[in-house]
Amino acid sequence: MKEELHVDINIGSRFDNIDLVDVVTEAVLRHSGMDDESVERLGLAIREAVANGVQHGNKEQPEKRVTVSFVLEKEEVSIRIQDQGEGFDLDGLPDPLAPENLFKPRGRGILLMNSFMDEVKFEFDGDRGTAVTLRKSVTPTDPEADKEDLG
Amino acid sequence: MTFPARTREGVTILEPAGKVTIGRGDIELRDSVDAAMAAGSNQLLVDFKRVTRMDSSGMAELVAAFKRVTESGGQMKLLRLPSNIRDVLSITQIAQVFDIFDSEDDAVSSFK
Repeated sequence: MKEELHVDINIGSRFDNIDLVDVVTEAVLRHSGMDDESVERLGLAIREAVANGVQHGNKEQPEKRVTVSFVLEKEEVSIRIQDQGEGFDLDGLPDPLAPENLFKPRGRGILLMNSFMDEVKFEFDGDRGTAVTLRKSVTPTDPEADKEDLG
Repeated sequence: MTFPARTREGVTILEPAGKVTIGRGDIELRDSVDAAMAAGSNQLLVDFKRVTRMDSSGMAELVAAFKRVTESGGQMKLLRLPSNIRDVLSITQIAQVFDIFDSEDDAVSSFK
């Protein structure tokens, strides 16, 4: 990785704005020196968390904001996604892998987050909204990034 | 908006491109399948060759479309899944629902 990085992006709750987060996400993850597969997998996990905030948290109300904070450190990337919604019952979500739920629409976003990240942590605060923090250890594959990192 | 579509030997081949994700691509998938069924086709093949990403909303529409098509007595199959989409369909176990092909000839023949 070239250097530590902290980037915040704040969007109104519209689906189109999720594409803006995608652009920033890819730039930040590529900065870490991750390989293409990791960039795609983490990018999708982050997109799922942002979409949850826009759709289920903020109920697609454009005046409500979703803030995405990326922190890229030497050996880890963490992303915190904060919405202004009322939260949801995490335990009430159906298990999307149960055969009886295969055709149900919900639960796959969190499954993908858990599959692609090392840690997924939800925090519910009635006053501030819901925050989800995603963490992943970084294994740079870009030899140029390693070289610069070593100074 | 619907995806480009063509017919080969009685099979409607849908050709989405770009993202099949929340708010646009997922709705286009639903509308495309509904349009094909309204036009009398229930033999559907979705060619993913030019799809770059599918999220959980796209997957929800995919399985919902599969259910509508099969409940109408038809078939819905998938063609040329990019590795990232094969990856997420495998993790979510949606891949086990579908017949998946790498060759259009083989896919179209399988409907006979």
